[in-house]
Amino acid sequence: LHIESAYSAQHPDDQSFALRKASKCYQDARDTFMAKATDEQLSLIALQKQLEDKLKKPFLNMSLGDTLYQCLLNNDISRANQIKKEYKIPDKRFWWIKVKALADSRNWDELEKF
Amino acid sequence: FLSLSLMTSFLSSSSGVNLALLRDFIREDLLLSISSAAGRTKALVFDKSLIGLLQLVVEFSALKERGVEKMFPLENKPLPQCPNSVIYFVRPDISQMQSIATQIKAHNKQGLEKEYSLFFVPRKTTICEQALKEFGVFADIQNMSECHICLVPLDSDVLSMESPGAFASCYLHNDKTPLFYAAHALMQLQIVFGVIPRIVGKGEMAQHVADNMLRMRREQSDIPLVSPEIDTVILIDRGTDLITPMCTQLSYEGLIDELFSIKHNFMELPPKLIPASHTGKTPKIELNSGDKLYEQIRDLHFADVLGLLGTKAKNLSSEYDERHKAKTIAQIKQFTAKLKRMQEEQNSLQIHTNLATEILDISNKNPKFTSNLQMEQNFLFGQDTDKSSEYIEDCICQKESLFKVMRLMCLQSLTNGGFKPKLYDFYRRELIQTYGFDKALTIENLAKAGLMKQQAGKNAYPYLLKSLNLVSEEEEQPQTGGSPKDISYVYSGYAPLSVRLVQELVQPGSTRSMEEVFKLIPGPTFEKQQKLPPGLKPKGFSDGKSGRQPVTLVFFVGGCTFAEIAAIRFLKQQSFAGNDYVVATTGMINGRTLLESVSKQLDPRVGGIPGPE
Repeated sequence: LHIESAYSAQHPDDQSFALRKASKCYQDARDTFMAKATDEQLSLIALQKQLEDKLKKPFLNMSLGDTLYQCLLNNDISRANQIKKEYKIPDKRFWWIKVKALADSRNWDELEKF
Repeated sequence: FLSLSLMTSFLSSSSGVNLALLRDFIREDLLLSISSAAGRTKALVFDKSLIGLLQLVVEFSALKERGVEKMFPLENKPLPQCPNSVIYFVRPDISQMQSIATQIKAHNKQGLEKEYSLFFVPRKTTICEQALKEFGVFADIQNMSECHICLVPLDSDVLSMESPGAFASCYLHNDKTPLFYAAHALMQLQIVFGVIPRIVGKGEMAQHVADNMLRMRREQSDIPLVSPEIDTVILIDRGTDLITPMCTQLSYEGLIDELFSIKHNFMELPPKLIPASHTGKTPKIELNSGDKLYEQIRDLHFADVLGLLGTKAKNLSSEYDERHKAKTIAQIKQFTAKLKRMQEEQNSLQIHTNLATEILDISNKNPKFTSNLQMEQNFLFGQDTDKSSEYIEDCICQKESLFKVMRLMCLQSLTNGGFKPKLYDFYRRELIQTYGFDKALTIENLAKAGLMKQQAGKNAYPYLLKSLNLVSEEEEQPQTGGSPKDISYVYSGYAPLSVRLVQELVQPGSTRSMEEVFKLIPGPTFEKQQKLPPGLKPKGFSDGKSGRQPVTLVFFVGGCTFAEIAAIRFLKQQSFAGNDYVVATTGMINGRTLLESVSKQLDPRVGGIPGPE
């Protein structure tokens, strides 16, 4: 219910508010997976806000994978590694995204380093 | 609205039951409703979800004859300028009432006096009347009635309710109206074709339909005395077989639906396949047995289609060559008589050769198409269903279409009796991180519908696989030109579970002998008899004289695929007992459309809200 209202909310602060409620509900219902996923979404929104301020590009409402891709496209490798660690992204998927982003941004030097 | 010229001629062919009768019955009802509305010129406003039904029953010219000048889909905004008599055809749905109120109020504001008629399809409800009163427009509607359109023929042996969302509404939103309509549809069928003596079925929703129908029968005493033409109805709940729609259909018609999608019997040709002669016309083609060539190829395994088309082309050109031999006037006359048919055939031949070549191109050029099929086959054979599939992981990494990924995951979950917690969490994480957090809701819906879930209890699939003989090694590699021996050819080696159920249920008393197997499939199994009105016997076959074949109506509650229809038509040809089959469904579906209907939950109109209890 709260997730739906989060998606109908325009402003990120409203979204986060609704998601925090959702997370609480999931905890009460002992759905640990969804509680964790909701918390991760909350921190993702926070991160996306930071990135928007820094890079002046839209990031909100993007999936984690797409956010990561955008970071790499903007050559923010250290940030990308940090995201990988924080959200425990499997190596395989991380490399796929990285290769695609580096190729798309024609960052051949970085690509060589693999 | 497109022409139905072909319809009448082909509806009466091939099948033992003349479905044209049903269509005429519905058509009559519809046209009568329209004629009953006041005014010489009329505007027809219809519920968007009814377009398919209307289109299949009546052609625009017939409506025009009854004074219909303009037609609009119903939207929640004022109507454009239109004739003075406005006729509404709507589902009994509050939001539709709201839209009607908006339109009437707008007219009243402008001081326009119009005559309003309102027809509920198929039933009027008190809630809707109440809603109209609350919106303050009840008194404006002069004429309020019902129009019983439920089930319309798609072909000479296929009936559809054209409501593809039935599965989602029953299993997710706990909204049983489609089941009520289905029961209503069966009642209507019985009015035209007589009481159906034997009712069998499998699954919770199917039982709902049967119970509803029997109740309606008790309440309605005036069943006309028609000798039964349908002997058995088999109700199959989509919920009993979710595996089949998750597989890629490999019959010609099934593949067309998978790749280009077929809507209300029509498909849109991809632009590059439009023959040059067609310029300016809509690139839509009608797909039904009115086209004799299509009738022959639609149910074939795709691998056999091009071969047959080649032979046909040769035959046709040799027929054309006969004109050189024609010497006498009689011979020339004979030839010109054939010419029209030959031209039609050539036209259709050209379209389908192009289409089949295009499909071949897609499946050959794209290595993923083949590996996808390979993956499906592995799951169906019960191989590696308990581990994370590398192929699915790769698909997610490359962010392939969400529906493609989900379809495979669902198939894996279904053949494995659900996922182990660790794998379930892994897949869910992968989906959410790649496709966005909103997909969490879709995942919850999938679990609710039983499509993808966490393991609970023993996996029944391996047992079903064996006892119902779901996969056959022989048909895995279709031999070109050879004729298939089993229904499994429609999925290249996998026999649709649903159709296997039909094969079992069609034998009287099977519900007891197959008890063990049926227990493993969700939902109750039921068998009921309906008493015939006194003095009536099933037409023909009981006295053994007329040689009439028993007719079985297979009703898929929650939708069916084109490949399943192909499989049932195959049974019709194979059957030694001489059973004739007619298929009915709430709507035509495939894996993609089924998943789409289940994952639409961010639409504000949808009531059922997933979330923690």
